[in-house]
Amino acid sequence: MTVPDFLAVRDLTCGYAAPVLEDLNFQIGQGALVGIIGPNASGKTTLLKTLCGLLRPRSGLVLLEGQILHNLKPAIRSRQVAVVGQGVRIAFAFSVAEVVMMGRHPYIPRMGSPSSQDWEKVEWAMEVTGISHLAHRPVSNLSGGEQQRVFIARALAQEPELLLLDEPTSFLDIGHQVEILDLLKQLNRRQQIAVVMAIHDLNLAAQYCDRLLLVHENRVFAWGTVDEVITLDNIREVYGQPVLIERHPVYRCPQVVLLSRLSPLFDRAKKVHIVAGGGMGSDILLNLGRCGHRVSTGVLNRGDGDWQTAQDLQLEIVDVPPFTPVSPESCRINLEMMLRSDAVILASVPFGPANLPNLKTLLAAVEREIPVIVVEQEPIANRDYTGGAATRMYRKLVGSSLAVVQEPEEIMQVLG
Amino acid sequence: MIEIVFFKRHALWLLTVALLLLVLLAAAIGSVYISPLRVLEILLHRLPEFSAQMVPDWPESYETIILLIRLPRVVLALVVGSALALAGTIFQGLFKNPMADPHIIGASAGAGLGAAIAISLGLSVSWKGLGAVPLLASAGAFLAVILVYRLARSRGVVPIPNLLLAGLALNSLLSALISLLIYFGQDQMHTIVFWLMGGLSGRYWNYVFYTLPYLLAGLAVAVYYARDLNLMLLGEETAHNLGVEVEKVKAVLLLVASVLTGAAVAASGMIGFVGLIVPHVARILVGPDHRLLVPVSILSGAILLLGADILARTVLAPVELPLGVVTALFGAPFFIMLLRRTGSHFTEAGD
Repeated sequence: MTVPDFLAVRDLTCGYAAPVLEDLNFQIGQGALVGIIGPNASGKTTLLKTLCGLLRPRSGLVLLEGQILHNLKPAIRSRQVAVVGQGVRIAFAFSVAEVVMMGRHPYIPRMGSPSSQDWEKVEWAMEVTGISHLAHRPVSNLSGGEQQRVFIARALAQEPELLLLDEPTSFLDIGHQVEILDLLKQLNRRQQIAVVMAIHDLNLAAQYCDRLLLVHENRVFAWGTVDEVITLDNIREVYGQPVLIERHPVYRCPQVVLLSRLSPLFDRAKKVHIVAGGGMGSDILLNLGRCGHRVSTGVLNRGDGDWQTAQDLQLEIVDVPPFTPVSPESCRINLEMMLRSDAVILASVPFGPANLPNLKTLLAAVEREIPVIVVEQEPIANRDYTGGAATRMYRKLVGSSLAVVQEPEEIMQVLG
Repeated sequence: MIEIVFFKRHALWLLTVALLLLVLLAAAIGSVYISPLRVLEILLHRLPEFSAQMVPDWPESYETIILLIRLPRVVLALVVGSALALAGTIFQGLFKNPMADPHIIGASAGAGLGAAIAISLGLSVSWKGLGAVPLLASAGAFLAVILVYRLARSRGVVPIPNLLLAGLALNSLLSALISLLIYFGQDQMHTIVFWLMGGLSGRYWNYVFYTLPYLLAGLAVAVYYARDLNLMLLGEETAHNLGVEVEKVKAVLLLVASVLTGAAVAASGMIGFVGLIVPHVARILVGPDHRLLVPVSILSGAILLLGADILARTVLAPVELPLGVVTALFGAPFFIMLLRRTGSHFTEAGD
C-alpha cells in the first residue's frame, strides 16, 4: 500500500543566493505524515518551497515517484503537489466556493468552464474540511481558522498525492490548532495523502507526525521516528534551551517541557544517582529530573514502575531482566555510576534477596565517601523481606549517610 | 446589497445598453444639434438591411457631420477608454494594488516620451507614420512599467507606498525628458504640447484604425489569462502552486497592459485616472473575478471616457476643455478618497 520512496530527496542543497540547507538526503513513503522542525530561520520554509517546485535546487534532486519534480510541467505538478502557505490572507471578496474552485485550475482547460466533476470535487473538499456552510461567504470575512480550512480545501480540490503545509497552526488558538491537525491526520490516513509540514510546536509535531526532520545549522540534524528525534540531547543542542522530555499521559508520545533559563537550579545542577524499585522512586526521579539535575538510576528490573518512569524521562539506567536477581556485572556498573555522582539517593524501597546487592553497592559507595541521602517513608523493618540481612546493612548505611529524610520533597533542601 | 447582486448578474447587458445610449447622445451633441433619434436613423441607414426601407429626410451635411466628424471621435473615445481601463485592471491585478493606474505608475509618461520621440522625429507627419507613434509609445510604456516594478517590488509584493513613490520619481524624470524634447524640438513644439494635454478633437477614422487592433489584441489576451489573473491575486507563490506559469503570465500581461497604454496615449495624449477609477468601481460592483471584471471594466471605461468627452465639449462650449483636464478633475478627488480608505476592501495580500 505504501511506496517507501514516494518522495525522495537526493543530495539536495537549497537556498537563494546562499545555500540555506545543504546535502539533504531523505525519503518519504506514500501516506506518511512528516513534520519539519527546527529553530526559526533554520530553513524549514526554504525546504518546503523547494519541495513544491517554487525554488530550484542549487544542486541535487527532488524525485516525486521517480520523476524529477522540478522538470514537471506546472499543470502536471500541481495535480500531484498542493501547498498551504503560511499566514496567507485573502483580501479579495472571492467566495469560499470560488477559492476552492481555484484548486481545480490544473484540471480545467483554458477558456473552459468547470465540469460537473470539478464541482463534485469542490463540494467534497468543502465537506471534508467542514466549510460547506460557508460556501457563499466572502473569504476575506472569515476567521483565521476558517481561512486555513478554505486553503486546505483548495489544496484538496487539486487531488494531490503530496500536501505541503507551512506552519498550518501558527496564529491559531489551541482549539483550532487541534482541529486543523486532526483534519490533516484524517486526510492522511483516509485519503492516503502524504503530508509534509513545517511546524514549530514540538509537542504537536510529536503528537501528530509519524516521522520528524530536525533541521539545524544548514543540515539535517536528525531524521527518524518521533522517539528518535525528540530526545533530550537533540532538543537541548539544537534549541540551546533547558528542557525535559516527558511522556504524553494519554498518547505516550514524547513531550517537551520547557524550563526557565532564569532558574538558579541550573547553575547548581548535580549528577544524582537513585536506587529505586517497586515504584517507590518514581516521584524522586521526576522531581530531580524536573529540577534539571542529571539523574541516573539502578539496578532496576525491566518493566518495574520506576524503570518505566526513568525510561520515559530518558534517564541513564542500569537494568536486569524482569524477575531476575541483580547480577554482579550490573552491580559493578551501578557502583561506577554512583562514584561519578555528586550524591546517591536511596528511595524507600522494599528489599528482598533479588535486590539486596543494591544495598551492598551503596555501602561500597559510602566507603568511597560518596554522600548518600536515605529516604525513609516506611520503617525498614516493614519492608525487609530478607529475614534481617537488609535491616542490618540499612542501619550501617544510615549511620554513615549524609541525611535521612521522611519525604522525597525534603531531598531538594538537602541537595541545596 | 441586493442592488449589487442584481448588477453582478446583469452587468454586461446593462452597461452595453448604457453605452449605446451614450453613443447616440455623444453623436447628437455639437455645434449643430442633431437629435439622437435622427442619429440612430442615419446610422441604421448605412446598414444594407435597413437602407432600402428608409428614405433619407435629413440634409446630406448631417450625414457628413455624424459619420466623418463625430462618430470617429466617439469610437476613439470608446477605444481609448476601454484600453486605459483594461490596462488599469491588469496593472491592479498583477501588482495586487488598487493604486496601480497607467498614469500614476508612469506607464503613460513612458508612452508619452515614446510618442514625443516619434513625433519629433517627424514620424507622425505621414499618414502611415501613425503606426510608429503607438509602437514607440508602447515601448516607452513597457520600459517604464518594468522600471517601476523593479523599483517598487519588495519581498514578492508591490506595497502601495513603494508603488506611488517609484511612480512619482519616474513621472518626474519622464516629464523632464519630455520637456527637454519640446524645448529642443521647436518645429514640433505645438504638436507635442497640444497632444500631451490629452484630447480627442480632430481625430478621424485613421486614429481608430491604428488603435483598435491593439485594444482587440489586448482584450483577447486578457480574457485568455483571466483565470490566471484571478489566481495571481492570491499571491504569486499560490498561483505557482496551482499550476500557473507565473513569470510567463506576468511578462505577457505587463507587455499587454503597456501596449494598451501606449496605443491609448498615442491616440489621445495623456488622459489620467480612467485606469484607476474604472477597475476599482467595477470590482466593487461585480467582484474580483477577472472573467467578469475584464469585460465590465472595458465597457465602463468606454462609458466613462465618452461621458468625460461629452463634458469636455459642452461645459464651456464652444470652447473645448482638454479631455485630460476633465478626467483629472474627477479622478484626483477619487484618488485621494482611495488613499484615505485603502484597506477596506482591497489591501495587499501576503506578508
